[in-house]
Amino acid sequence: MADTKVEESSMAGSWEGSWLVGTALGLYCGGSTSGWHRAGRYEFKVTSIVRQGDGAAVVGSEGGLWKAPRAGADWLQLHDDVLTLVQDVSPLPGDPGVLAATAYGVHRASRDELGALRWRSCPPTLDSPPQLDDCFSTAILVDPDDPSRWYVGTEAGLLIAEDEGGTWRRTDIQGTAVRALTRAGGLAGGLVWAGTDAQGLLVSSDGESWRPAGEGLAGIPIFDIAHTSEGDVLVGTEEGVMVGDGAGRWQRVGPPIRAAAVAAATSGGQLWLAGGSPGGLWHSEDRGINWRQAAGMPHSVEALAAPRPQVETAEPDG
Amino acid sequence: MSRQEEYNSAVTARAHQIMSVMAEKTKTMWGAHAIMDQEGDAGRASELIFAVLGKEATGPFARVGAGTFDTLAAVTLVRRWGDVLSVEAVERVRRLMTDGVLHRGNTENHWLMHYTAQILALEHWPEIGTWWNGLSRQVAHAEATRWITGMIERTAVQGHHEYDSPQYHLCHVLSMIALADHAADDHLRRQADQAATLYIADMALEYFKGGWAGGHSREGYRQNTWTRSGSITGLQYLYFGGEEFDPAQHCHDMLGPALTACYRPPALLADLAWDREKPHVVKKTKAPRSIYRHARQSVSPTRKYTFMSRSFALGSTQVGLPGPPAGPIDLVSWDLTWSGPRHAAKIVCNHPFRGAGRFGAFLGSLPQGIGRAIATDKPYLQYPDRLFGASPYERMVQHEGAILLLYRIPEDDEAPYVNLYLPATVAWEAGEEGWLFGDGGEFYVGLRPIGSYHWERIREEDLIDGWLLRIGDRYAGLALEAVEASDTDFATFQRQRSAAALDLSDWPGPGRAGLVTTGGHRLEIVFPDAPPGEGDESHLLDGVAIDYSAYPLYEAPGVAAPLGTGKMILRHQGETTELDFQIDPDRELIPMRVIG
Repeated sequence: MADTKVEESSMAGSWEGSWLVGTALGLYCGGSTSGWHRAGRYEFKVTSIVRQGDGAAVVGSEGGLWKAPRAGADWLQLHDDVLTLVQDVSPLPGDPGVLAATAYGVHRASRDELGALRWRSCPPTLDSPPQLDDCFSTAILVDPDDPSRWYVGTEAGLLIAEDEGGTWRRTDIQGTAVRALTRAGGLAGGLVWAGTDAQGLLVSSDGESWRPAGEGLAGIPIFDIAHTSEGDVLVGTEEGVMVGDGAGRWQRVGPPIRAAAVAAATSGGQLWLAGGSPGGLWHSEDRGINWRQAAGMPHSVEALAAPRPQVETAEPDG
Repeated sequence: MSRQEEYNSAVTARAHQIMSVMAEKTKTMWGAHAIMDQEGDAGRASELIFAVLGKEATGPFARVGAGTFDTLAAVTLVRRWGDVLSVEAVERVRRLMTDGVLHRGNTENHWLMHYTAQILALEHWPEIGTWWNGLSRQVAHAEATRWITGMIERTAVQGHHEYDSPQYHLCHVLSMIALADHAADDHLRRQADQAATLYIADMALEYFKGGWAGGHSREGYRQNTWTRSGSITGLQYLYFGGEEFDPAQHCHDMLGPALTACYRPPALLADLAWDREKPHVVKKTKAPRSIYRHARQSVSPTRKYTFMSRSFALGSTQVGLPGPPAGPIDLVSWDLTWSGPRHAAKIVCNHPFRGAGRFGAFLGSLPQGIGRAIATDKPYLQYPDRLFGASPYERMVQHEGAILLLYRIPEDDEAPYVNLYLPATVAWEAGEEGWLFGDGGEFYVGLRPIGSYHWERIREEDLIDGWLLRIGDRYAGLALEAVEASDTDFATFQRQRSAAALDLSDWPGPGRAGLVTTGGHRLEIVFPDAPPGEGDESHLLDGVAIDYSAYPLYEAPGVAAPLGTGKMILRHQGETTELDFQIDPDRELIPMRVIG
């Protein structure tokens, strides 16, 4: 049964407490109780979202890369005439704060004499000549402990770049597309997770050696991974949302959609979201037992970002 | 009066002829140029701006989006007629360009129109410091200029990516004309002027009596069975003349900015377009197509070979694609064309390759869903009787008026057959050795389907109307030869064509087949011992391998244009046009980032 009505938001201001939903027709914000609102009239197909420290969101899209400061505000173009077809973004210290995975490879930016962001490709230098599928980058994860180390999912497998793209190497994950990369914190224990087209969900403690994460996902294409504050792992797959702990058998929950995106509240709640491509936006408020579709949302949801955890502000020193 | 002056006057006269019709009915911003030129009715033209762009809404979310076609149409209108359009209409365009949400699109023509409109708007409203995308005027201008000049250089050095498209070539020409007329920067204006001439030369070299012969990067649904397809026919009439004015064919609204532009191409291009007295071959090199995944090797340059005869043209393409599943959706690789009504003068065949992976090869969406997603909006791209769209299993070799096409379609392919279109207006005769013959009046054609086939009727509104021969064989093929009627008689041609060898003794078996032309030349294709669609096959002419890599940028009588130089010389009957894009060979070309 569909619920929450979608409307165009007149809300302007910080959206740190809102969910962000990247769809084929733009960015939406809101929550299961407050309803969903289109965050302005930018109807770009959103493929990826990264929240930044200033409360803004960086939005990857088919047409480029944008900074969305807050709900209702004008967006700022971050791409140039080189960057397009952004598949994924990952936080990277510095300006503009992200590394981009695109159909034409990994790109990073610097400023030119006009102060404009200029993106350049970081082509993989491998022991064997990279093929087209080695460059088509579908997922990216900058190691939060060592930002010079990048995990790059491609149509051909998983690559690791060291020294900010200075050296590259293949990993054991080859011969399959890697469309999802996460590094879990908290209870999951700092592991790197990789979702593949043909080899299911894999997990590694060092990025070098990989093992299947749990049972029952082999051969099912995986598009997104999310970790809940309770230690559950949500996996968006071709057959819907799977939930498990990464060791035992995965259980399918929710509607049988191509779940291109999954997300879970990072604190203070049990809300899970799943984005179908197609299938629209679905949510569960009871850890996946019951699911409802958000009415009126675009049919294709590609990316989700949970609200930022509410952090109690300490009294300033002095 | 010089030849060029005469020509310019003739172009102007045809422009007025077109605009007199266009002005009456147009409801587009493109056509508003005609309204202004013919009637000077700024009120009506201004109203069209609002009709197309809509009234601007109010409120914090009222930013109106626009695509690349609308932005170029609006800005060229303002740049040409802004001083007489209503203040409100010009302001509407200014608001769109400075505060709208503008989509850059994903094809080469999209980006070109987008960046052209940006430059023209940036220079028209220099007082605007921050633009629609939050960028400063300087940054936005630098980005647009960098891309356009970079793509001009790419085209001059290695050929056009989105090449020879009857549907989209006009977008390229219009953008260059607009920049040549209006851009502030001398270098950009000069480069754009030359690029416009280059694109029109592209049209001229394969122009055939109102149509565009040979292979095309992109052609519209069913349109590759038409003798005159796409919006380009109006531009061809404008610049080449030579045929009776046909409002239905020549008055496409998108011509508007070209009709009122100052730009004029060199007169000799029209002469080249109509000089078909002496049969000749045109060779072209085009840039590699944009394929970025699902391929084991990089894309090779595209090579075109078109035989321009007096009463027919036969053109083919070495598409350079890297094997399955790369198969651009609207590519047309070959055809035989002659003068005639819409459905009555084309022969073409195609394997309607349908694998969803072909969409994923040049689009970014999830491969798992892209087949159905594309088919939802454009179901005709997967129709079983489709006659356009590249197949990774098609190979062809041509010499003058003869061509041999072979297919090796895998067993598990969704469409294990080939569609062959024949006009229903020709009385086909069944000859010996499986040949079919047609008497085209001024020329004769013989064709020999390879594989068992049956006749079907194909008709869809005014989109297609003819015969569809379904060759139901995974190793299908076609041998075809056309000759001028002035060189022989029909009976002799039939006899000679039937007698000349079509050697299928090693087909499909070892993967080798040959065709001897009535002129005694032997064409052969030799496949490697590799799965269908993979590996490089050899093409032989009289036993010698054809070296497609030796093709220059352009080769035709009077044309000299080596690859990699950015220089081109065109000569015709004492006239000469030289293009020099002043390429710095040490400078790296900008990366290609769009579907082209």
